[in-house]
Amino acid sequence: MQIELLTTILLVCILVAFALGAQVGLALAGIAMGVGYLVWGDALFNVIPSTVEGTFFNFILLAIPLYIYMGQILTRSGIGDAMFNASQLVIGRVRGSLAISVVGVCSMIGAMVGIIGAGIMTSSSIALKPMLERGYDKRLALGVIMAGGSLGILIPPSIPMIMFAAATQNSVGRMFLAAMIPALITIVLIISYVVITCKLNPAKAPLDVENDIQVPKGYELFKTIRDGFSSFLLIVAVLGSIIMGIATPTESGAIGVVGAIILAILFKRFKPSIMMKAGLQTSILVSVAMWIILGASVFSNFHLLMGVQSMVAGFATGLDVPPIVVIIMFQVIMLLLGFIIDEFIIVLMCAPIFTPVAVALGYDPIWFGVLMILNIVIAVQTPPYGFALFYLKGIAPKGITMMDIYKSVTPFILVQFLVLIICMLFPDLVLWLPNKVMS
Amino acid sequence: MIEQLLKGYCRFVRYSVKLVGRAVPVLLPILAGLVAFEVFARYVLGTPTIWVYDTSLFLFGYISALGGAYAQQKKSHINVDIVYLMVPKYVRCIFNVLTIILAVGFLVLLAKMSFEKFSESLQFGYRTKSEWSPEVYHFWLMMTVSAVIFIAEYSAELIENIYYLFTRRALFSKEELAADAAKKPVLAILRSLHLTGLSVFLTDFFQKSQSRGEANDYLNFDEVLDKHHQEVELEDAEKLAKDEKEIESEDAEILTKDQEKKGSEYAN
Repeated sequence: MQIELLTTILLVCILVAFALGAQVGLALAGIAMGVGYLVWGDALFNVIPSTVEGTFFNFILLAIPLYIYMGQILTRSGIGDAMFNASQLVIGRVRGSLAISVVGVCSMIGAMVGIIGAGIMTSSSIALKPMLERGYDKRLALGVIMAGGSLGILIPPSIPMIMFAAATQNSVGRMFLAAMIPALITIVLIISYVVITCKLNPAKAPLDVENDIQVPKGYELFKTIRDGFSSFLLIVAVLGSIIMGIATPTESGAIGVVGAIILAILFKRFKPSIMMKAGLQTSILVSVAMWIILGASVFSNFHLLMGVQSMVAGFATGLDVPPIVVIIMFQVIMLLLGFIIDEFIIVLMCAPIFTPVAVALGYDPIWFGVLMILNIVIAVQTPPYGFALFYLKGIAPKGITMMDIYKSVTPFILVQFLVLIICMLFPDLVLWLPNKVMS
Repeated sequence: MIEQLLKGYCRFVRYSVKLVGRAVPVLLPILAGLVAFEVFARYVLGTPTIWVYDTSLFLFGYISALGGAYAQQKKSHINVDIVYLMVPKYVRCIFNVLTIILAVGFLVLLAKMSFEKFSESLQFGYRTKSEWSPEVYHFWLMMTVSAVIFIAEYSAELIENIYYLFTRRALFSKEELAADAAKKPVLAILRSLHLTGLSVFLTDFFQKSQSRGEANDYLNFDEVLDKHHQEVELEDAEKLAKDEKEIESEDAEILTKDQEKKGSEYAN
């Protein structure tokens, strides 16, 4: 059978299965095996054991449970609140300071949790109430939570980046480093947007002084500073050990878990029940991620076996357009995919197909990976169907309509889109740091 | 009768999956500890271990594969629910049946291939391609088991959906689900086996075979089962009442003690 026809059939099947609300990982695998059996017969089923081996005997993917576990312990033992309070001490006098802390802290938390949905949920549980209590504009509050929570996958350690690295055989460390500068630019731009909009419209963000809220004193003050500082230190230690080459990304995840437990014990926040809940939640998230990876890998292995790569490559070179147009085309496809499916699947489905083409066109795979992640950040929160919007709707207070949410996220999406374009035009922004540190 | 059997089966599956899902997280701290120990061994002890690499990968496989069925029970797996949420419950059940068949199709293949791999690796003593190179047969056995319990979980969901399609009412009411969720899995598995009516069926059967000649009145069976259930519920209710009484009396004791204490403080 022609690969073009086969791909069309597969895509139609996927669309139907997804519309029916199928569990994505198993549906992908089921479709691949079903269609594959009709084309190739049962010899194809040998793809399954080799894919299982490739998925579960993978030291890079082993980082996923460790990072998620670390994030769960940290957020459940109240370290997120500590960071939030500490950052308020530093910038509490600036108008819109809460919103700024939310961007900073929530992107950190999002990074620790590693998954957009969980990032937004955790961020909102920490930050939404304080902002609304102090009379912040609801749209601004929701917008920064969305921006912070979804930025999480751009800031290392990030699960989708680990998946990208595993799917395309690139170094996780390089990937993490490459994302740093784009992440920094995004955060700076978002914070400046918050500052400017609050200056222009002071009613959006009342100052603490206007609300009679006191800065903590004495032991409380000491505790806030200590908690905030040590959690910051833990993140630096985890990232630092990767960058300095002391530990592999997987090992630094384990260091992070041990560090998080030690912090929780030191701050007298350690409870067996917290560990139980963190463990249970982690194991559920990990099995969700791994069954999707397994299913999507079965699908893409089958698809690659059928020769989809040469089809895409042939199509891309046959178009006879400048390489950058091909890259832009990929970006548009991923943006559209982001409307219906979540970040894991986009990475797992697109990375093995698109990356070799980008490399063949003379681009750096790491650069392409960072673009992909940036793109996903935007895609999942783009109205009308970006799936992160529905998480936000789920946590929003009563009386917030979908339209309010669309309006609240729009300025932040524009900022992130700007960053995507900047990174696309200036690849050096992405590649400079990893080349400098790990060359 | 059939309804009881179905309910019993669904409960049995649900609790077994829950038991496995609850047991798996115990491995997580061990996994993190092992990988962290490797770093410690390399820098502090100066001798990297050879066994941590394989062991941690095996643990990772166990955690992520075995937890799949429980994640399904918790409805944590990711799906695209744009259309799904817009259609009425009846149509949703049809959707569920179709998607379950698709997923189970793959899981059956996975179970079959994993089991073949298992017997192969047992026969030829396959090992991992690493320095320590432990045997891998247990991993494939575990994959088979995880695929099978995943299928079992889906089969229970399939039954619930098909039941709804035929009768237009849910197999389990909301109250039943809430009550079930509070139970401890180990005891509940045994009880659900009991409640499938198997035990009642057997005793009834033997009684019937003893008194042959009487009419084979299967309507009788439902009555027996109902009676049995009433007894069980009665027992539960009695237990609950007893527990509550105990708690109340304890509370009363504490209260009187407190008052006595206060009284003595005042006296002082």
